[in-house]
Amino acid sequence: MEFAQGTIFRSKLLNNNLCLIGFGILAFITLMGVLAPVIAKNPYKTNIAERLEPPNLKHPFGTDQLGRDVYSRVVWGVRTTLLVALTISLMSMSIGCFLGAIAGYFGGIVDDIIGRVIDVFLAIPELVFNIALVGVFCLAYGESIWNVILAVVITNWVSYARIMRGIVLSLKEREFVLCEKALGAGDLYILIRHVMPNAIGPMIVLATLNMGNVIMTIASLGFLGLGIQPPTPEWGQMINAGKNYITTAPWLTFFPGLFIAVSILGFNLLGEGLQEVMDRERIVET
Amino acid sequence: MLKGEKLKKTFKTGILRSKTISVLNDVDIEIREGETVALIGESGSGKTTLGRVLLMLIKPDSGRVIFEGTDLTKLKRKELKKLRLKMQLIPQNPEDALNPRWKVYDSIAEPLKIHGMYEHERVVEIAKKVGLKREQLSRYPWQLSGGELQRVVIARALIVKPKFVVCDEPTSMLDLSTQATIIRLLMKLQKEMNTSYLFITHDFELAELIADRILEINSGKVKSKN
Repeated sequence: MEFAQGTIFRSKLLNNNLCLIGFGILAFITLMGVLAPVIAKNPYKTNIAERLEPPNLKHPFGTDQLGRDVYSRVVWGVRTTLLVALTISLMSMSIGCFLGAIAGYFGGIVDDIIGRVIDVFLAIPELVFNIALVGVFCLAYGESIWNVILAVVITNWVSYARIMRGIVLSLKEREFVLCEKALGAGDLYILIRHVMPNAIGPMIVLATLNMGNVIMTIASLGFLGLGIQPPTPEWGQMINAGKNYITTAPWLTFFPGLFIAVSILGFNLLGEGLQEVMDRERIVET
Repeated sequence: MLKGEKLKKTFKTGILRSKTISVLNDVDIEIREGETVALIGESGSGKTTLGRVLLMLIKPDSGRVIFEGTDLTKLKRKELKKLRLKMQLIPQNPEDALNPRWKVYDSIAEPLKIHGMYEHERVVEIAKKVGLKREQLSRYPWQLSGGELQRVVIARALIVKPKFVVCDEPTSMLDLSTQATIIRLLMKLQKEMNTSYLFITHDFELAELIADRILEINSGKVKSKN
């Protein structure tokens, strides 16, 4: 009987409801972002004559204080949020995995240094640190989307590094790593070819669950006026602009808020589903 | 061929690393070409540590390991890497000894690839020698049984035709009937390749059956037992 590990894993994924629902939500939102030029209008076009209109057939989510179509802004906002969140996640995952793996595998003074740096970062409240960093970057380099990305990456890599370190610590005690050493393989080779591929599963779960946090952080920074700057459509910043009209025009805050909530829910469901599938696989393996 | 002289190894434990446990205490051991030496002892007596020290997987605190006239404790990494072709390890738990993400074929070919001497024919030849079927080579470790996995591990260790192999309780995780076939296989391959075995076990009867000499390790000291 010939069958690959991949096919079994795929069938388990397809049988997991959490995964499917999470994936469905994310696929829907992503599709909206991809099709934004087709399904939405120009998000920057103002029309004072139509300002603060409640949801109607022409403007399904209503219009804002400048008469811009909220639906179009929300849909274009998918692109901003997902691209920025994905960039942040990939960058912090690469940095965190690399440092965590080195700390766990080599131990000793390398581990001590990286471990203390992690401790320092964990001791500072994340959002406060982000706000401070964005402020500093703005002063130093002027306003740019990269300020937000870098600020979040600097606080976000820590969780990856901590978990990667733990996984590598347990993997390096396994006999197959010992055998590789006995065969004459070098440390870097063992780390890259044998240890890291076996740690990547939990890392993907973590990255998926972490995407929700990242989206929340981007929206929080946007709400505080520190994130992605107007007129670029971004959900947090839309809520910030709409908060002055919350009693008279609640749709300005409701729809961006709904999209933030639903996309975070999507990532969390997918992440938890993946975790369940992988845990079960581990039980089968042992 | 292989000699351990006055080997000492201590481990530090405790929260502040204040306690020291002496595992090897001035151990002298010699293994001659083509012979099987059984090393018996209770669990925790330092059998595995001694095996790993002889392979230089753990550095001894003091003492020398001399392999074919070279003192291994004084070698640099690169020099030691070349000698690794002649010394191999067969570990205790075959299910843990293979990378779960690698196909069996790749695991067996690994030593050749590390040393830049990969040849497909050699992989097929050793697989045949240890009794693995061709289609088993394209499987993953979790698709094989314990006995089959141990054959893979043996194939990986013996593909480079080593002079000296440490067998660290290679049958303790297997059921009785499989144990016998694996032991027979190891003995057959030893004759073919003229390899020396350091056979670590806690099973005295097995040691008597297969070994030319029996050594017993007890509280860090090795004594010969016959």
